[in-house]
Amino acid sequence: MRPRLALLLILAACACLVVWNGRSSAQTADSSALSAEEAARIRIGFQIAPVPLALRDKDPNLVGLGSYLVNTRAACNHCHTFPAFETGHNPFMGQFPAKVNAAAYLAGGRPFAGGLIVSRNITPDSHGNPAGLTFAQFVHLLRTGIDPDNVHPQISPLLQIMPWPYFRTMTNHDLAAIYEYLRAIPSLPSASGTPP
Amino acid sequence: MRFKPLLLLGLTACAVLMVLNDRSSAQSAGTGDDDAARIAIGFKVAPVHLNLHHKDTNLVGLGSYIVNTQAWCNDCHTLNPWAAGHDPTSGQEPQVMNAAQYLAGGSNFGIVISPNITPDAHGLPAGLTFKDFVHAFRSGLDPGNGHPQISPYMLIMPWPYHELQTDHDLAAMYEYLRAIPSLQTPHSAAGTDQETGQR
Repeated sequence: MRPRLALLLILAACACLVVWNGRSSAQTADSSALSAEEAARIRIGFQIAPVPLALRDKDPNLVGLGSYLVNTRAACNHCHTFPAFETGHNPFMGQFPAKVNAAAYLAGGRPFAGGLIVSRNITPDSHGNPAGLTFAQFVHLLRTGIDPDNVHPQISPLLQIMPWPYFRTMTNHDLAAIYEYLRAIPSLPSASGTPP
Repeated sequence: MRFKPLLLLGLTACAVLMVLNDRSSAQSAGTGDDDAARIAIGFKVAPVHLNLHHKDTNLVGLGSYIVNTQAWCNDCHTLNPWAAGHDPTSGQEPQVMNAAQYLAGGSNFGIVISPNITPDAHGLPAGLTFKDFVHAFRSGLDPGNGHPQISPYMLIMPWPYHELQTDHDLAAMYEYLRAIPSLQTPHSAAGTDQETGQR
């Protein structure tokens, strides 16, 4: 009886150690799998996001990277927020510190070509889908340029202002990051004049 | 007596399992090279011949990825962004960037004409050293001061966003711009030297 009990105890301890060991390496795996450059991008992404982010059920590394891509390289705010900066905080006018217009962040409404084209609301809809798009639809839009709402058929079925011909060659990982970030930002009603 | 061999057996099994467990998680931890796929795409999408002599190849590839896929520089810094008959916004696939005027500036935005950001005679993109290049991004001050009567800041260039990039990413963009062909600003720009940013 006693040797069997001892064996059971040893095996139990062994299992505990293996699990604990696995868990500690899983915790470090997240950050150690990232290059220093990628970790810096994610960190900056969280620093510069101008709105509170809902991280529940999201991949935080993707959200941080997505924020970096959206708020630095791709300059989405420039067209999808109108006006782009808060009153008195427009860096183009030398008004520092710059502050993105959080109240209308990515809710669309900027007119182009005399109002023939208006930027869309790309915040999450009531189902949590950015611009009302599933991830598959989002990727399809960026890879093909086909306007999912076809709001200006008299001009073209293709998006005319959105720089999708560049974005279409991004990695799936970067597109997933952008989508994950857009899922995490606050849902806002569309700015006036924004197509549905 | 029977207890000791059991203990030894148990501990050995435990040690073996821990080593195996550690090894498998080390393998899944990856190499940390998140930019490998981006660099590969960067070399694929660059529309011009790249001069890699005395350049950091990985930075050039990453820079191309940033410039050509995410920052859409071509849209404003190339007079006609797409080659004739290859404009994707008109459904003319496959898309081809206008290599003959690639990033040579000349797009007229009314108050501003986009500058030529190809390397000058000294190999400096837009005539800027890396220090000047970073300063232009971080400060927004127009290096050519092309419209002092309106503003010392660049008005069309989305620098308030790009300035937030890491030094590494700005270095990649600069390294890529050092590697592209030097081109004359297209004649139709009819801009002054200040307006084109070339010094």
